[in-house]
Amino acid sequence: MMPSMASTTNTFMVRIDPRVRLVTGFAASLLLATSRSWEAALAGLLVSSILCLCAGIPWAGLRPRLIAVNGFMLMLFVVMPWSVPGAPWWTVGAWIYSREGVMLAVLIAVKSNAILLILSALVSTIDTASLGHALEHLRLPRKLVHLFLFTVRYMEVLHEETRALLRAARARGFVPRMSRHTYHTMARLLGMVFIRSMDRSDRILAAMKARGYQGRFYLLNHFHGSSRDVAFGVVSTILLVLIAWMEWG
Amino acid sequence: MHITEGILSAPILVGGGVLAAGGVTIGLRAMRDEDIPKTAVLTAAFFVGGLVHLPLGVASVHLVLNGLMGLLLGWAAFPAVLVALTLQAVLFRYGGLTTLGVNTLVMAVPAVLSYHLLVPILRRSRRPSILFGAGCTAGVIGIAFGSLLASGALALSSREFLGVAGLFFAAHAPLMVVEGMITGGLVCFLWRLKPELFRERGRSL
Repeated sequence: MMPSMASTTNTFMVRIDPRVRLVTGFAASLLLATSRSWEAALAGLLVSSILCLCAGIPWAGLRPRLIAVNGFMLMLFVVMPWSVPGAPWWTVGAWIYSREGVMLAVLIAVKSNAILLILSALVSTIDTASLGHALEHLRLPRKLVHLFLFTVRYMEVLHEETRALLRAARARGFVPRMSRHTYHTMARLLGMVFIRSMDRSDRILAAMKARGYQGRFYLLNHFHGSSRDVAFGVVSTILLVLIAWMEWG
Repeated sequence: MHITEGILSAPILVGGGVLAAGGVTIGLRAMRDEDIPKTAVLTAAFFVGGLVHLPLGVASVHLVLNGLMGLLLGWAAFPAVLVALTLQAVLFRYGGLTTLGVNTLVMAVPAVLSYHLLVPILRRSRRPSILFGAGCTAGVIGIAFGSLLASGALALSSREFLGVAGLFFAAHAPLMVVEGMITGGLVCFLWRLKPELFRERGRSL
């Protein structure tokens, strides 16, 4: 269930303060997402690939995501060149499949892949509990952070429960098809997951109140920035400024 | 119903982020402290519901369930969607961080819309056909309005995306049917077993 990379890698990346990684990852994706120049996009792809290699991100975890993102890009290649004016690659009647459109689609694909790789290296290597704490340290609303932490906690439980119900249905000969019966069955199955989990949350809240829960989590592990974090922050800021300079300089 | 990173223009990303932040703020105000665990359970349930794949012709679709999310959570659907999308971005690198604002709007605005349109009906009626119809409508609104918003964001981002936007919207038509059928069934089922779900939760502001 948890394809988080946090446990699978044991490189320098996991030792860098999650807050630093989160902020850097966000800044880098914002920069790349809004860039329109080839230099910036290609530099971003290069840096993010190197980052992924250094962080030891396993290819097996990366591949399905790359396939999914580039599947969407395929749609861009099929559709977009028809609506971008420019030198014709080929023409069908009045419709022009333009070279400029293809180039634009390639640029977008480069940017999307670069962002995906950066997030994989920087953010996906944070385990979800630390991510929650990092968010609280970054002064996000307390309720939102709590919602996040609780959701992380329940997600796996619910996934297990859904899988169990699906297994039970399959054991009784249920095969999902395009039919009313399938939709009916799935509605009841998911309904059961909802009901069970609501009851579970009532029990958990009662148990937490019994232990003195007052609507707050107290952070026990505080992050401490080290010289390594500062060095990482400085190097990434320099790289980001360089890429920004390629874009707008 | 995701828009991938690297496609939308900066004004759309920023505008989406600001609007989504507004919605999330309203949603957080509507959510009391003791509602947090329940909202989280529902968020997790929607997340898991999205992992269930159903066959559709030769392809398979996964459920979004944002219409139902609105019916059960009201404005709290905004923070719930944001959390679910953040988790997706981090765990599966689906969507991404810069598009969080736009993608939150795409899913949460139809949710809040179905809440305001349909919860009054659900509170008054107990006829199964009306319950199913209301649920079904929520499911259809969730996908139809959501993919319309996503296509709008694409089209507004750049004129070059007009074709892609149209295709994006059209591709979601079959999902509307599946989503409508399942949300309708879910509402009937939940109403029979736990009618208080539609009364207690998702208070208006």
